Amino acid sequence: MRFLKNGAILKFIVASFYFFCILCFSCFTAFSQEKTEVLEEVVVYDKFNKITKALNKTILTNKDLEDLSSLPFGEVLKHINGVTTLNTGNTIAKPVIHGLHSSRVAVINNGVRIEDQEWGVEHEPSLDINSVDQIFILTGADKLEYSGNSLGGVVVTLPKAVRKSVGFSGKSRITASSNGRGGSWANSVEHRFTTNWFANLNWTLKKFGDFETPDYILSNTGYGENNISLRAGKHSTNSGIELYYSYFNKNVGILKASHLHTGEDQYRGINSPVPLIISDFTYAIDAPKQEVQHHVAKIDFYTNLAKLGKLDVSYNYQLNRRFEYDIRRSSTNKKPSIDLKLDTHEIHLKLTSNISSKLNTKVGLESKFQENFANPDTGIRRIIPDYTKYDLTAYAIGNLAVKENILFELGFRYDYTHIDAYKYYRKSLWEARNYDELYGDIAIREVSSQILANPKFNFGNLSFSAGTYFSVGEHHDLYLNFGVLARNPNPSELFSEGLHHAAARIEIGDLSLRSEIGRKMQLSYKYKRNKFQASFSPYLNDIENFIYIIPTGSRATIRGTFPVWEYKQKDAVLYGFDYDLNLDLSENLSFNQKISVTKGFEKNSNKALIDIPPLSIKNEVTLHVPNYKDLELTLESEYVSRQNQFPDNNFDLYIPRTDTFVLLDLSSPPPAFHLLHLKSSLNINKKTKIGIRINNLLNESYRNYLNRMRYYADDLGINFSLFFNKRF
Amino acid sequence: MKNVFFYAFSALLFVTTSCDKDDDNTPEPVNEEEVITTLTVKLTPTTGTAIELKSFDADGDGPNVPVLSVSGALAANTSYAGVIELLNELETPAEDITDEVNEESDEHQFVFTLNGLSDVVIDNLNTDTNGMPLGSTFDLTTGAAGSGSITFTLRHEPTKPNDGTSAGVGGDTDIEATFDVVIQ
Repeated sequence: MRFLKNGAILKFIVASFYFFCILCFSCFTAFSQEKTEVLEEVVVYDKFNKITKALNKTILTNKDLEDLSSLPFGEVLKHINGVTTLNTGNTIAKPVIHGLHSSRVAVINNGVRIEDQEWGVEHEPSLDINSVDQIFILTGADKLEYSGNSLGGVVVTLPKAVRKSVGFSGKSRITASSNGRGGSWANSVEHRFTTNWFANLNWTLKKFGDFETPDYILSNTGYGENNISLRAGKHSTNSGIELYYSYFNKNVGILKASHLHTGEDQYRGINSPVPLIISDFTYAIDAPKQEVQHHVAKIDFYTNLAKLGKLDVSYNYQLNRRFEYDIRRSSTNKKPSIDLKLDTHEIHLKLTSNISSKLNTKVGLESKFQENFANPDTGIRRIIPDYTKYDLTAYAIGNLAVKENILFELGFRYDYTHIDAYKYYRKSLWEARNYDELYGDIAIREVSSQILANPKFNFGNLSFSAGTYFSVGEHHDLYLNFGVLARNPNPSELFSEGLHHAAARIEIGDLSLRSEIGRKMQLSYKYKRNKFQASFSPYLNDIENFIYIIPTGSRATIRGTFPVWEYKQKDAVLYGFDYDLNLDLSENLSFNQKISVTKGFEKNSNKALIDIPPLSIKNEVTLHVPNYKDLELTLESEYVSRQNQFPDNNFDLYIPRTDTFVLLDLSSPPPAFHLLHLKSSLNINKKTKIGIRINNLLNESYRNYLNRMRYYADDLGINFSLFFNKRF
Repeated sequence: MKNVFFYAFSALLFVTTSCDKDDDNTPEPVNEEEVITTLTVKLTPTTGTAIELKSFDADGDGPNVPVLSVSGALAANTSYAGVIELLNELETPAEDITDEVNEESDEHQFVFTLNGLSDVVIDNLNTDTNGMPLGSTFDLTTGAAGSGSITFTLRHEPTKPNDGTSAGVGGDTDIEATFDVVIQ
């Protein structure tokens, strides 16, 4: 880490980058104007399509999504093998890929990396599942187009391709669920005005009340979403323009019984067999709750340049507002405890070239400016400070077909990041951590026993990924990839320094954290023969300076005693495999099995990492009768084992009131569970489809290790969902 | 076509670069509202010396521990009138949080926990707007000589009515202080 005296050098770099971009762009466009011949549309060579299919682990398509339309985005990703979720209740779900999440997983929607305070484990991706047509998980070299720091992986979502023929069409999906006593209404309309001009509008409304376990109501867990997205443009063979705007708005309640003020309250909550607060069912959402508003505006041009390929130039602006409401001492105080505004501007230039039938390349330049504003009117110390961040990125990715059955991929990406933050430290903490000696030069002034510091960081990270794909005969496909990625510490890891109400613990960041570096090796073997398909994909992710939070002691305050958790860095290793089997038992009957295993350890101590997904096994039998209204009936069994490898973060908490110690059990994982789900659908006519989905058919009581609410309450009981899809 | 692209792109560049922040524009400090720095319990006997128990924590959830003080020993077999005062001394003048608690008395309750002081009786708690115990004023009667601790806990959104015990009152803890006391 190096501190810059002022931003002058940086501004110069940004300015020169822009100048360079403008220059290149005007040259390109001028060059393309001179050529008069009509270029063929850039069509990706068949072989590369095949490779893409091998690399991209699984794709969720529109068909998979149609009965999941009422779920939060993260929950939907669970249906991809190797992806689990880290939940805060059932309505806030973060994707976990190969054991990694939050800052280590990027979510790309329509080409835009979503910037929505993704560092927070209780911050869900701000994305409407109904605006999405396909979902990919990128783990190979291709992901370097989107991210150099996603050690877990990159989730890419694509909007629906607009109809080819001139005219109007649309669809409506209505889902009603018994659990939460709510539903969703999702609509999509599209119009092609001429061969080239099109427009597409999506909107979704969701409303749920309190959800229920088999035995009790989960009070204050309702949520609502109001989302809209609009896309319009002109695509012709040689050039095109597209405008995109989306708005995501979610209001979500947090289980009231999980909001505990002190270590002792937390102890009471954990040791109570039922949640401490159970009220009657309601649609009302009270504190603690979150409200998120996310806007994305994007403009995208492309033009085909003779001999060079397809040039994309896009600009996007994102505005993320996050409000978190805690239970305040005074009920008349309706102000949020967290009020963050994150603005992000990004310019992206990309040149995609089919150099020959054997080689295609993608090179790009990106510039990003981000500003975080933490509103001081909350009356509560900022959870993360105000900062500005600049990113400059260049990447190059190539795919080479050496032979008909052997392909290579290679990608490089360089990210330069500058962060300029203003942070108020409590003077007592500033001194206790010895920052006054280590970072005395960044202290600006002292205001009412707080130190205003101006930390600046510069990071330069080179990432790369190399892979090969080969097929042996008709039946065997093999894919091997090795990649190195680096991730800078996020604002929470650097700057945290106080009570995190949602977790009833004091969290302390560290200014001296360095970037973590992940070296990941993965192999994927696929076997395919007539009615039998199987894939086995092991991986090994060796992470240097892995940043994570561990309990380090307790602290007495006038509010009571709290556990103290600090961010630390250790070398770590994660490994595991995903296995997938598809078997056609008869013409109408098929069987699918998915197994996912993840292990994660600190390298020196061999101590298990926290929040590693336990073994999961999913078995599915599907009856499909195309002749009878395309009837489908699926019985799914989901088994999740107990996580036996967990760090012991249990804690002897001193209770002065009784002059005793109690064991605060934050570690013990819940027992294994087995759930059955049933789903069925049929087409009433060509344009109308109805279906039913019953989750947790046997109404089992269970708790999930990766749900932060597991300390206080069971997971969801049985849920009947009816859906109705109509195309028009 | 070329010009359209060029101007559009330049305009966008202008938008992004013009968002650059002025370096002198530093954020203002947060005026903390939820803080209670001080809990004072005044115990006044009908005759004799008044006793003050005080817990003071200037840095909230910062690393410094609360400073506890007890002005003296309680007298045996004596009745004291108790008054609890809560302050935020980070404000000038200090903000009286007790007023806020008394105003929303139905959403609060003080819990008293005695440890090793079996002869001490705390009763006659003042009440909230619904006639349920609040406890910002109370009576404390000592018995025989001895020593132990008294804990004062302010609970938010307690279950009312309740049995007055920590578990029975429930709710969230806003403030808690434990004092070692001697009765002689």
